[in-house]
Amino acid sequence: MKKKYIITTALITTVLSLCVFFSFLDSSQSEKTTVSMDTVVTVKVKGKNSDEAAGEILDIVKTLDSKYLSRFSEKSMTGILNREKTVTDSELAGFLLPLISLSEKSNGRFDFTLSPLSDLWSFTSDPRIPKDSEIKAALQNTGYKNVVLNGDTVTITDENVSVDFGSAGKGIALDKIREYCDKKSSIKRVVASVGGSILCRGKGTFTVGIKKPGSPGGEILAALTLKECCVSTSGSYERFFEEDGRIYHHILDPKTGYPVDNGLVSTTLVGESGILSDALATACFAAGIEKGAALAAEYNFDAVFVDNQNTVYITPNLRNSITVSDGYSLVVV
Amino acid sequence: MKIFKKSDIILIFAVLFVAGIIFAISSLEKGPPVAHIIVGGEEYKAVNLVDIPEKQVFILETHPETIIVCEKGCAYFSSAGCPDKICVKTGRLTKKGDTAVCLPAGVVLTIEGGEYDAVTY
Amino acid sequence: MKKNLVYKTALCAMMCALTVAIGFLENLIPEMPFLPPGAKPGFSNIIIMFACEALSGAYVAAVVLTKVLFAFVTRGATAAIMSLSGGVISAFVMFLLLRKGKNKAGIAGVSVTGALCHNLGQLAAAAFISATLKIVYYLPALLVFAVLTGVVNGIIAGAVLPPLKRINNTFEQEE
Repeated sequence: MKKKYIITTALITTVLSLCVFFSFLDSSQSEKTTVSMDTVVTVKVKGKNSDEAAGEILDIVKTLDSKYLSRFSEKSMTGILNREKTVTDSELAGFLLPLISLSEKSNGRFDFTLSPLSDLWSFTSDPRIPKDSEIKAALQNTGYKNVVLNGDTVTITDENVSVDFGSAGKGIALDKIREYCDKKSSIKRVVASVGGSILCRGKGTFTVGIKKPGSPGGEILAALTLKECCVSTSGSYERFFEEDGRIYHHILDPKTGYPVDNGLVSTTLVGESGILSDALATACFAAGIEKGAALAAEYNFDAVFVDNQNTVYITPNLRNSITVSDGYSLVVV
Repeated sequence: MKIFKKSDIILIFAVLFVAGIIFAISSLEKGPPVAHIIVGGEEYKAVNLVDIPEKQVFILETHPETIIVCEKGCAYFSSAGCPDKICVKTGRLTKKGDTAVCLPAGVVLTIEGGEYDAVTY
Repeated sequence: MKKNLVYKTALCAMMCALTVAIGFLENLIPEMPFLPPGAKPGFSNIIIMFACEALSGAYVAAVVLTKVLFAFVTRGATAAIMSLSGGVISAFVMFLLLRKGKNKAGIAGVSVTGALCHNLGQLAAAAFISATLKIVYYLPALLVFAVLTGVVNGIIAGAVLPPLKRINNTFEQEE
């Protein structure tokens, strides 16, 4: 009797420990980082073969950029479109459809054809304040209405107008990553950051912090507890320069050609679609708190607006999901 | 003598329960993961692992000598002059509570602050 | 009387040798990825348990000190201090449990308690040496590991100790 008892217990313990051991082997976690789309892309994957999956996800982002979105490449779909002024591609058309729709819904506050303007300000290389006349001239070469969709065919009707995915590309990458993850059942949990646009996918809750402008130490001004979603932020602190005491940032008003000046420092959008989170972040920043909140609601998105007085405005649904850091006050719009 | 008495089972579960509680409590606090290097009981350096642009290497003048590396998302002992090298074998520390210690050198490397899933900017 | 002393000394020496051999073998175990580094199965606790039942406290202390000396010679002063702090407390507690509290715990319970005391003793020493309390972060993993090894050692002891005790009793009676 005693012997049997000992043997059975020993066997059970061995089996249990082997199970624990093997489960650790499988549910591994991997984190990989790369530079693409002119920004830092990081992905954290939890699940079987997480290392392989993380690598494949980064490849997807790189391919997306080189094959479709980069406007600096001659071979990408965007490059071809901007050069030939017409291209037939279902993916590209698929990206542009919601952007055109958003441009209309936001009354032109969101516009994806502003490259002549942003190149003028050249935030990424040698920023300068352009002359009024230069701005007016550049504005002539912008306008989303010049981009027409006919099924899968995209046509730009004005020769000087070009398409720029700068304010939506990161979101598109999130959607592509989500597509990939949904196909792989071995992936249990994914958090991807494409230049600050975040994709959370998997069971349970995720904690996403909103970066405090100008903080080198990764400090946050608020933390959001969310279920799986896409989160994107537009901030005036990302790319800007200062001259004569004034701050000029990269989020331009498509109507005036000058940086949006409404006291906002950042907008963060939370919702299902990646491309919309990215585009809406820019659109809502330009629209301001009231109109921005309404716009977000139309798309079933939640929004966070932060102004230069350290006040954080949120749409009602986020009331129980947000914690603001010291020094910030919370207002529900 | 019997192998498992009732009191034994109670003891085992009580210990596991306590371990679970300690673990849960220590995992709660949120904040960016910060690596703390403690030498001889005093904090030598605190490194924020979220916003770290490139690898940072710390060569500590301890006896035996220890070298700690901090990079994006993790910190670890890259080498140590002690005989056991348990500190090095601990590997990469990534989340709050992860700790590696080199006792002969008197160095503790630990991650504090919670783990955000991500920061949006 | 003399024979008894000779017998006990020989038995103690054998225990010491076994402890050293086990210590040597345990040092060879490679680091498993998910285990706290430096964690050992602690089979020598089985030897200590037997010593507690078959020999008096002084002999048990001798076995423990042999373990410490072996650690000092092979792995250095720090390892010796770790072994000393953990070994003394766990041997002491197991001695009490086995000799005085015989009906209160089964072998697994004694083994788990011994493992716990060993780990806690080591943790206290480590905190003292590194002059910081941050080591406490190791607690949950250590506790779980102590329980695991304690149970496994307890089961092995349950199989190995009774026949050993029987043999010991036979020898002891052969005065």
